[in-house]
Amino acid sequence: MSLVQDITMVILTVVAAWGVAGWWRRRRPATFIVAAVAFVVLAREVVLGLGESGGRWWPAPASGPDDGIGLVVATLLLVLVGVVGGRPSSWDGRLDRGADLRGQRRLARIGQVAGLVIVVAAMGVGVLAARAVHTSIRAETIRTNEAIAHQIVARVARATGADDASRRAVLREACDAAAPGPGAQVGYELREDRARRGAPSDDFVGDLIERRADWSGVMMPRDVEQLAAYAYLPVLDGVVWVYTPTSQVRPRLLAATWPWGLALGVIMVLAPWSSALFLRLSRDAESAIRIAATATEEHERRFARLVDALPVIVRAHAPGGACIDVNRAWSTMVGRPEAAAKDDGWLDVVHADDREEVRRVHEAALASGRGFTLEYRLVRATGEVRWVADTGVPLEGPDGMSAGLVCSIVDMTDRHVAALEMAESEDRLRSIVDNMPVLLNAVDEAGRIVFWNRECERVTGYDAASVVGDPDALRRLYPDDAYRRRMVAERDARGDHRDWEWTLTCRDGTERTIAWSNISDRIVIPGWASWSIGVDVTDRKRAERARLRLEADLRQAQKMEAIGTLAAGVAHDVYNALSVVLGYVSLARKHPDDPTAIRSAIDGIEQASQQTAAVARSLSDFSRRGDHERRPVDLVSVVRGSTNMLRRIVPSNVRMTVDLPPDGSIWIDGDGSQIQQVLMNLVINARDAMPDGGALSVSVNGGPDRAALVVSDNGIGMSERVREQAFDPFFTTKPRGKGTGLGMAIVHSIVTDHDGSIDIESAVGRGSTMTVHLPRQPTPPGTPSAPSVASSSEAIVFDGEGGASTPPAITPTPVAPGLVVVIDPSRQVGAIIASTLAARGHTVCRAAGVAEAERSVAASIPVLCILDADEIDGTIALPRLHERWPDTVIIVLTSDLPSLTPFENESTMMVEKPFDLATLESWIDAAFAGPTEEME
Amino acid sequence: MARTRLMLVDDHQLLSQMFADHLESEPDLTVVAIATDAEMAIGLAREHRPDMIVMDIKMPGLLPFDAVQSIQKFLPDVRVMFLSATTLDRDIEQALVVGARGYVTKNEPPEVVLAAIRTVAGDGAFFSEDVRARMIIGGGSVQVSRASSLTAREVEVLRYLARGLAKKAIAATMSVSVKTVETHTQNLMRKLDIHDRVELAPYALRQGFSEA
Repeated sequence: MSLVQDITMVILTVVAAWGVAGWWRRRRPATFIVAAVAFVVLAREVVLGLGESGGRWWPAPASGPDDGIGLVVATLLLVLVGVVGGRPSSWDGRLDRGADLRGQRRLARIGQVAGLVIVVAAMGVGVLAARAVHTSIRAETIRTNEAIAHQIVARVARATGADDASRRAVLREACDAAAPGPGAQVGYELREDRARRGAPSDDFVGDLIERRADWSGVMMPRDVEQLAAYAYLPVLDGVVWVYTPTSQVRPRLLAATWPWGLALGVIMVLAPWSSALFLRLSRDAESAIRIAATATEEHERRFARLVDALPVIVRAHAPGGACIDVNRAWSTMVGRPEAAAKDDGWLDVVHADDREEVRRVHEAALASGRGFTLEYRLVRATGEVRWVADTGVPLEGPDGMSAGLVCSIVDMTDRHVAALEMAESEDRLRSIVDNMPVLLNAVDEAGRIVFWNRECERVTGYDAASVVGDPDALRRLYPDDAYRRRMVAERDARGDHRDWEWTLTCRDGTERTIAWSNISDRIVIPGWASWSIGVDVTDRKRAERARLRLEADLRQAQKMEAIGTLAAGVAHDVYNALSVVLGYVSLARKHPDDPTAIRSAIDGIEQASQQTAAVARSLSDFSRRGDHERRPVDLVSVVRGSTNMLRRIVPSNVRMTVDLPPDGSIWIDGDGSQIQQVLMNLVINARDAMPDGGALSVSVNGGPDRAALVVSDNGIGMSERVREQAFDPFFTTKPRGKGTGLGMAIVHSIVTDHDGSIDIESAVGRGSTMTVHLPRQPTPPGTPSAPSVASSSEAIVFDGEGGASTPPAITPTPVAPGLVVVIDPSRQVGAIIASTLAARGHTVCRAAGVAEAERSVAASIPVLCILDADEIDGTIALPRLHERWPDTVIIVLTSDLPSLTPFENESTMMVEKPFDLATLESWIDAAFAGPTEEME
Repeated sequence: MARTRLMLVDDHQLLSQMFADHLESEPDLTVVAIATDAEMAIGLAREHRPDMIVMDIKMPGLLPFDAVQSIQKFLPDVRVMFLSATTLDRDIEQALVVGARGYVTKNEPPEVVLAAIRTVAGDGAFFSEDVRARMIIGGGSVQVSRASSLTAREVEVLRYLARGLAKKAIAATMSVSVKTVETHTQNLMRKLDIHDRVELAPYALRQGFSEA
């Protein structure tokens, strides 16, 4: 067989296998039938072709054109089978989506090619091997036949005998005796035979005889109808041949080549099938890839629609930085078509001032592979500026290299504007909090300071860093433990408060007073458990204290001045009086024996002394510094009590009248000595307004709830201007050296303190009237008052009569003096009681006990007996006294009333201790009064 | 009768001298010593052993009360009378504590002072009215009181009065004489400074002494 035949056979085999594989996958009967047919045909040829030559199938030397047609048809059939059968099917879920489809396909292609190569190789090897075997077997058959032929020729040659007939008989013998192989034939043909037969002399054999040539090979003679292996040898004048027909060789061929054939068959089935499989795989992979690609395409399309629908601008960049895509939102925002964004076009819509930074950030992100967030401005086509927040996310390819950048951009103009406003507002508030001259601090639940503004820092010297969060801070600010504890406790108890002052210690040790206001309960600030604002009132308080001190100093100075004035007057009076006294003394000395002189001297001295005593008393009253607490004060008493003193300071050329309401008291709440001072000052001023004399009146009057003190004069009066400034401190109309100008200021201050007011009525040249209005108080419910400023002065009358005043006492019912026995071991108490009795004119007999008393009075019967039952056992003494003096009234002084009550009767009175002398007096009077009528 | 021997103590020497001159004419009194301060008074008392001391309260140096107490150690029966320019409660208290028989304010005219001296010399007692009004004879001593409070009996009477009971009825209820009730009433009214029976009832109600 020729090479062309072999190649054709290979092709046919492959195609056949393809078809089988196709059937295997697709189960198509048509495919199978065609493939099977082709395969069978091919198989037959493979096997038969080995032993036959020429024939209809092969373009053998003796073959004609019709030998190739079947071949071509078979080829076409198989190709068709292969094409149809080999159509790929889907992998139906067997596609591993995770796998690398392209890799699979590549592998499949490689496999397919490899399969094909293997097939070809196998085929080639098989064919070559088969051919080799075939050839060797053929060769061997031929050699065998040649050997046999040689044997025959040799036998003939050996047969000497000479004639031809004997040689022909040997030839025949030799041919019969030859043992050719199975199926082999031996024959000969001599020229005579051929001539007798009439065979042409130019056919193959004739040619051989003529040329006396030998030939061996395979041929198919016309009359044999099959291929045979021939060996021709010339003998005598003819030729001998040995031939073995192919059909006899076939079994041997089969036996020799069947492993090869089987292997070849298997390979021919498997390899192409697997190649087809690979092809199928690659096709399937291809289709899967295509499906995936389609799905991806579909997915991408869906995705693109989604991205376009987003309200967020999405922008994609290639690794080099060029913009490759934007979504619809971009073009909506900037008012340009999407294409305008491509490459570097996207930068054009960025605000010029921001462009450089935006570009830089994008490039950096692409280079570093790290994302970014950036805020910048875009300029719309309309020129409007919008603030956007751009978040860039770098993409990483499968190989780790940058696959570009995806930016999502959100319009935050509104948010930006709001943020700007909020930042501005925050700055404003922060500036206020930091710079306001008010302390602001806050504490958390644990009491630690969490906020400390700049004013706090400035005032305390502690900066916020050293105070915030420091649990010790409070101790530093308030080092006194007791003070601090009190503050904390009171703060906790108080809750919200305003203007509550505490003193803290600054860093440099100085102290400052802060007025704190805390409304944390009402206004809750998140994050602050309690917050308070404070004002540094240290200076204010200091100023206030200084002011108060100054006021007090002013008052004191004014008082000193008044006293000075008064003292001058007093000294003057005292000197006068003393000179009177001394004068009278010398008079008395001069006329020691003249009773008249003596008497007048004594009278004069007495009078002068009385005057001086009065002056001294008023002076001491005036300078008495009572406490300045508010107390009910009788204005009338005050004025009355000051009268004497006023007369001291008013010169003789000024006529003074004091006009007081006839019905006694006008009460106010205040300080008597201060009112007195007011009166003094007003009178001094009135006096000074009348240097040449005049009339001065002091009066007190009042309505239902008002009281008024009026001082008026007919002096030089005050002009409008003077009147306006009258109460200004240090304002004076007097010449230098006379008066400090404080008098009216202090008057005003005192009157204001007493919730009163002061009016000036004045006309130049006509005099002034000063009216002090004070709120009137009801008469206070009385307790027996201690001697007040007024009451002790009340006794002082201008005409010099002395004598102390007595507080209201029960007027004793006048009784006839009698004998009174006082039984009291205590000398002091006894003496007091005795003197009380003696003052009433009674005769008193004192005794330390009952027996002594009886002895002392002897036969007399006392009218009254006063017994101190604490010192003497009353239970014993009383019965005895009753018995001894049954008609004597007994007053028993006792601390233990119940034990003596049984002894009480009409004439035995019990007085409980403690009792005041007035009570005792009333009992004494009662004792002497005898039975009285009902007093209703 | 023996003359009472007097010691005068006053830093105002002239005053002492004046009293001494006046007392000269008194037959029953004689001035044996004049001291100008409390310290000196102790020394002179020891020397002269007076029966009575007239002492000014306002003197520099040792407190007069301390001096009196020292003197009383060796002269337990000496009678003491104080002169004072003031009637401060604490001065009166202290005077009474040391057993003073007299306390005279310097307001008083000299006759009064002399009369006081005479009274105390005669074993009596003389207190200025200012002082008398504030003296309370208590359980064991004489004290100064700033305000008088009602005794239990007086409160009882007040209650009855507030209820409108007649004096006779009150007397019967309390088992005392009408005079007693009257005296209590007078004292009540004086102490409360209510001089009108009609006012007593509302006062008592206000103060809670009785219920309406």
